Amino acid sequence: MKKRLIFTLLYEKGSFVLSRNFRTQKIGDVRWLGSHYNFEKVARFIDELILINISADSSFDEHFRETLSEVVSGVFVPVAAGGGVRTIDDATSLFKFGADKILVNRAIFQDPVLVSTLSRRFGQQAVVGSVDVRRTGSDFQVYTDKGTQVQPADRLGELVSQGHLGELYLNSIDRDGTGQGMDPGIAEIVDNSFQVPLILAGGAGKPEHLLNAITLPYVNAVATANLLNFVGDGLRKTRESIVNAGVELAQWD
Amino acid sequence: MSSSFSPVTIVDYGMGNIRSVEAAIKHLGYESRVSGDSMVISQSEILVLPGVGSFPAAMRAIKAKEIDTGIRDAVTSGKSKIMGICLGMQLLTESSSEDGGSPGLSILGGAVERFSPHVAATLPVPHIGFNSVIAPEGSVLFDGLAPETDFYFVHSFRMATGQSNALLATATYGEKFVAGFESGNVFGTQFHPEKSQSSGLRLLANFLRSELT
Repeated sequence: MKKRLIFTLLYEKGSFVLSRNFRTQKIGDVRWLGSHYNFEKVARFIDELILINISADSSFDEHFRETLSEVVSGVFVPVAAGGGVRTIDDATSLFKFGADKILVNRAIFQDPVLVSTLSRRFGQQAVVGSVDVRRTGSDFQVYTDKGTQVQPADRLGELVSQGHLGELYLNSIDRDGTGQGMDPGIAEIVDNSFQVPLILAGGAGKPEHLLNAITLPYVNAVATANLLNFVGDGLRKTRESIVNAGVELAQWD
Repeated sequence: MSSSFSPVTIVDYGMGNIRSVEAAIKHLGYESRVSGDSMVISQSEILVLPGVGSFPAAMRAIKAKEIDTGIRDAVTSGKSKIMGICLGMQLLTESSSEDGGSPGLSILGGAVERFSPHVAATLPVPHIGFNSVIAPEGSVLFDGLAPETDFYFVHSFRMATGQSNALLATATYGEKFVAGFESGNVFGTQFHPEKSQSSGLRLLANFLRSELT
């Protein structure tokens, strides 16, 4: 299976944001992303795109879906979307507005039946389990709600072993937005036994960080949400360095 | 440039990833309309049949709206061309064994079945992600693309090779299977060109501008 380079767009209350240890800074809406970052061109160097709505306020759901739809119309790669998926209808709407997969987060712990229902209805491959992981020494814990609620990591492994999650997206809370490098150790949080592809996120500040993580055998994909460091030709250079290191990525012109 | 082309009709039977296909067609400078109306479909020169989901459910939805008649009228008259994507490609064949089985639209020969048991024993099914596709010589769809090009797949069922006279593109996932076919005015891809970066856009453009034979 080819490995993947993924970009994550974080959306909060009407705007895309940068996050650093979960403190966010507004950067602009979808038009701003186009005009300032030429995002559609940047997106030619990624295998997949993820959009996460971190608003924690359902009144922004509709605007998030419109944003998703606008982004999708100019980016010809698979797109996963999530954040605030509480019901089947929430998920159905995201698919309708252009998502190929949805991310589930708090539902893993609070409503696993929703996760299994989504997996049966849309297919396991369309449901991505997304959690934040905090390191304390050599111990790891899963958190939701912007790093404030500890959750039982076992639930994640259970849903994987039951075949309800097609992929895992693990984000390091400690490295989030720091640009200091990724923490592959967070993969220890779940007994995955290579059953589903693992996407590692959090901490990439330069191409080497993504390269170091993607070369690990248990990491199938790496993601960055770092717009400042990876737009321009950052993703192109990253892709080149990964391919030059002998890691198999999909290729196109 | 849009106005010089007749619009593309994206066939809507309620199970498609229509938004992405629509965006890709628009990006290529063509106008499109989404329709589940058998009359509109039967009179369209360019048809795209997308789809994600269960084959029998799709056929039920298609028959309920008499879309099958519309597609056959358009395509068998030779006035129209059609491209099926993913489940849409599978629907153009004679049958699938998915979910208890169902006949297809039978525009082309061939049957769709789950990946062989020996594949599922060693590799995850569904087959998901970018995989290399070997283009057949003389292909209209793959014109201008490398003989081996990466495209994005998501599927658990596939058409086996060796059961159709159509020009076949192939991919390998534990076994060789049909990644795409073309025969006259009928085209299909098991992969998603609308999710396959510039290679997918090129392939879609090749279909859209192909001459009717």
